[in-house]
This record gives sequence, structure tokens and C-alpha cells, in this order.
Amino acid sequence: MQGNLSRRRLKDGPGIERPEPRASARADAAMSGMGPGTPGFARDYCPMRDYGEGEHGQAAVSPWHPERDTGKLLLAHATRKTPSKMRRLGGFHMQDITEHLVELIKSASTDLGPDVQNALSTAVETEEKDSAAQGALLTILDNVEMSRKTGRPICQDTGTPIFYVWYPVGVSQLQIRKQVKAAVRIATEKTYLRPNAVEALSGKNSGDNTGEDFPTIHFDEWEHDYVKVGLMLKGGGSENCGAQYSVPSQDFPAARDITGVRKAVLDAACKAQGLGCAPGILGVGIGGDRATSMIKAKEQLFRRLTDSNEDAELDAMEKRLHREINELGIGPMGFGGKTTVLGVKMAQLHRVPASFFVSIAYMCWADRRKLLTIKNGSVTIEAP
Amino acid sequence: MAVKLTVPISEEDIRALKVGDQVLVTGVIFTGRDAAHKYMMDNFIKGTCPDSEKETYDVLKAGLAGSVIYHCGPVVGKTNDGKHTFVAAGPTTSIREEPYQADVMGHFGVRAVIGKGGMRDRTLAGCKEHGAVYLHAIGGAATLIAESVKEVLDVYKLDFGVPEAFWKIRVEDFPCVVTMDSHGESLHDKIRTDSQKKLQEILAS
Ligand code: SF4
Repeated sequence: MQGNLSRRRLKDGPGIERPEPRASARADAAMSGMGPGTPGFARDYCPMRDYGEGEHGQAAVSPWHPERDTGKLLLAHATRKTPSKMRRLGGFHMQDITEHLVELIKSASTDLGPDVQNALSTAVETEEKDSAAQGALLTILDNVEMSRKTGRPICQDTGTPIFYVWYPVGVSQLQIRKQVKAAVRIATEKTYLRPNAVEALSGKNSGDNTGEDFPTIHFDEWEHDYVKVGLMLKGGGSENCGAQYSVPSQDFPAARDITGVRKAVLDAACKAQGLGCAPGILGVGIGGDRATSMIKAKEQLFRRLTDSNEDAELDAMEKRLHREINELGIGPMGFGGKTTVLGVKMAQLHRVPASFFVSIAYMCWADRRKLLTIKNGSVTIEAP
Repeated sequence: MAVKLTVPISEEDIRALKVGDQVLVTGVIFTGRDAAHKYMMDNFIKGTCPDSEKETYDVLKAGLAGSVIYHCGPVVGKTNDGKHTFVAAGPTTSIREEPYQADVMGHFGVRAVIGKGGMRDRTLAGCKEHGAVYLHAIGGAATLIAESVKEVLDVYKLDFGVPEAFWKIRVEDFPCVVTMDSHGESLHDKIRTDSQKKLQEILAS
């Protein structure tokens, strides 16, 4: 692998891999305030939290940056940035991360994260003994273990692969995009993914999980000197249970405050019944426009189930909604029972005064998401 | 705890089941989803079976009586000796077959349909009339269900594509829950009504 990596290193290009002989680059980076020594570095496990303010007070580039998807602009962007900044960071080398991305996909598809598995195990205890609800949860847990052992997909619907890439200044998005697509093709061949990309109107399957804006890739340049890639496999059945409310509207009279948000989330959970393969997890985005609101909602699904919201009001509402939705009695698969959701995670964005959106992303129990970190030449894959 | 259902399933077995019962299905069953249901409807139920489809008809007629249709688009692999195997075989959403299901049950004498998400009034009435049930599999449990598929015996209408073809399979202890029984009860309707009522209570509190 090492040989392969060095062969692919770009000589003077920006990159993410720091080879040993150039260790001084690390000191340079730290001195320029970008290294792991910087206060606030990895201040939170969840990479989503690094959105918003950069460490020097500049806004970090978020996944919906206007230059995000335009190859041409990206090139210009990279060239523009290269001379001064990159020389300062010199010594970083771009490595081909395709093989690590394949492993990331395999891990996400076949190995459920411990937070979700624990929540499912706890739920078994709360359901009535020998009930259909308890039976469903036990079957799910057996399936999870079996998939882990056999390396087979947890669910045959491996969904839309949604990637989130955080990368240091100067790394080429174009290259990463190519590598992500290549990894998805390989993973499909190895049956970690089912070929899921079909043309919208004709329904024609591309056969390799790539296509127009497929897989989804969000890019976010950050000031750390390493790369992190998040992957979520978002199944179709659960995605169909998502919802978006414009508050208030004729069909949905509710207040433009936290009570209106509560009403919307409860309504969406009740409409979903068991159809998204309950017990699910709800990500909620409040504010923004129709698009950013839903992106924010999906990002919440990356949060660890056991975490708390930094915003006290939202934290209280997350816990309240979790309890209230379970009181609806829909239960696993909609069989009836106490476990309809495993968690509710919320976040807010600024909005224009005229709009108030509440967006709800529904994730099924097969909540497949993993994080790949490539840092100082070491590679780790873990659950959020 | 769980009731064992073995193919061929008798009407008596079916009438004994009620919503909420957990069952384990064993025996030779068929997969079939959108293309398969439309095909059966167009060729055998509405139409008079064309000669070209006679062979398939005979297989289905003999195989489906007292047996089960599973709404599933499997991921199918091949073993070294060229035999088909199910790699992943979770249920797909059943509601798409609502226009056909009751007629297919009646015509072929199908005793159970396995899927997910439940079905509506026409199928519920069909279950009552023909002595059949709707069984809900565990959505997403693809590996576990593939394990309970012990053998892939044959495939018909493969020209529909792998997920849409009729796969004749032998299953053992396939875990399901009765969510629509032959007495006109639907667990889905009940849960929907109850949860909507509860929602109003919660919102009023
Ligand atoms: S909703 Fe989730 S668990 Fe259910 S079939 Fe789709 S991907 Fe699988």
C-alpha cells in the first residue's frame, strides 16, 4: 500500500499525507495555527460541530458553498489558493484514498454503530415480553450480528450513499470526487452496495451506483491538517418518510416557535407510522430555506444517539419529543409498542423573516453511518 | 410463542391466526413483486392464458395453491457449482400490489402474502373471502431472512429482471407477524387510528 501511495503522491501539490522526512511541515502548520496543537482542535467528536466559525473567527466553508459542485470554479479555486498558502503547508502530499473509502463503505454497510445497537438492545427490555414488537427487535439484533459476522449488507437497500468530506486547504475536490466515485463502483462490485442509481424518469439503472449527482458528496474545507470523510447510507423506504413543513400554512396552522416545531415533528412521526422501518431516528432542521433546512436535518443523523444538544432549549425538546413520539404506540415496524424512535436530533439555522421551515429527515433502524479519518498517515474508521 | 406455518397451509391454519401473532414460515414459496403481479393479472386473471405462458401458468397454479407470495426483490448470487443463492432478501413495500393482490389470492389459492408496510381494504377483504393472511416481515433484516432461504429451486420470467422475477425458494422458519388476518382485522388500521388519537391527546396537553 505504501508504495502505491507514494507513487501517487503529487510532487508539489497540496495534499493530506505528511511523509515522515518532512515532519517539519507539522511544526509549520502548528505555528500557523492549523495543526493539532491548536486550541479547539477536535473539540467535539461530531464533525458537524465544526461548521460555522472557523478557529480564527472566519466562517468555515459549509457543504452548501456555491462553488461546491462546479468543477471549473474548483479548478480556479485550487489554482488561486496554491501559491502562497500551499507552499507554507508544503510537505503535505495528496494520497489516493480510494481503498480507504471502499473500507468505509463496507464498514457502514455491514457494521452497525454501537450507539444504535445499544439503543436497540435497551429497547428490547422496554417492550412487553414475547410481543411482536420485542420479536421484531430481537430479529433486528440477530440480523445486525449476522451481517457483522458474514460481512453482508445489514439491509439490501443500501440506499443513497451520502458523503461528507472535510479537507485541508488546497486539497483538490475534483480528485476526491473521482476517488469517491471509484470507491462506490468497487464497493458495488463487491456487493457492499446494491446498484441503486436509476435515471429519474426512465428508471434505468446505471449499474454501478454512480450517476447525475449520485452519490451525494458534500465538501467542506477546514483548517485542520487532515481529512475526514463521513458516510451515511440512506435507504429509500426511510427517506420517503421525511417531511417538510412551512409554518404556518393553511393545512398546518402552528406557531412560528418551538411549539410549532414540536407539532410538526409529532405530525411527521405519526404520518410515518412504521413505514420507514421503525424504530427510526429523526433529524430536524429548523429555519433556513427549503434546501438548507433539509441538509441540516440530515446532518443531525450523524450525531451520536447519546449526545446532548448544546442549545438547552433544543436539548429539552429533543428529549421531550423522543418520549412523546414513543407514547404514540406505533412501535417497531408499526406492530404497536413503546419504541417508535430511538432519538430525535435538532438544529436551527438563520432564516428570512418570511419563512419558517421545519424539515424532518427520517432514518430507519438500519442507521448506517461511519467516519473515516486520515491523519498523520494513520487511517481510522469508526462510528460517530 | 411463535406459530409454525408449513406449506401447504390449510384454510383451518389460516383461520386460527389473528393479528399480532408471530409466525415462522417453512416450505416452498415464491417471490413476486410489481412485474409479476401485473403479469398474473393481465395474462391469467383478466386474459385467457396465451400459449407461450402456459408452462409458467401450470407451475404457478400448482405451486401457489396453499403457498405464499413474498414481496421481495432479492440480491442473488451464484455458488461455485453454478447454483443461485439469496445474498440479501428483505421484504419490499407491499402497497404497490394492492390493485392485484386479492384477485391473485383468489385465483391461485394463495394462503399468505409476506411483505412490509401492510395493504389496504381490497386485500383485507380478499383475505377474509379466500382464507388468507398478510404477514409482515422485519424490514431491513436482509441477512437474517437470506439465511432462512435454504435453497433456490428455480426461477421463472427472469426476463423481468432479477428483482422482479418469480423465484421459487425453500424457506425455513422465516419470521413474520400477522398484521392482516382472515377475520377482517388489520393491525395497521388499528395502530393508525390509535396513534392519531394519541397524537391529539399529546398536542392538547
Ligand atoms: S427503510 Fe431502512 S431498513 Fe427499511 S428497507 Fe429501507 S434501508 Fe432497509
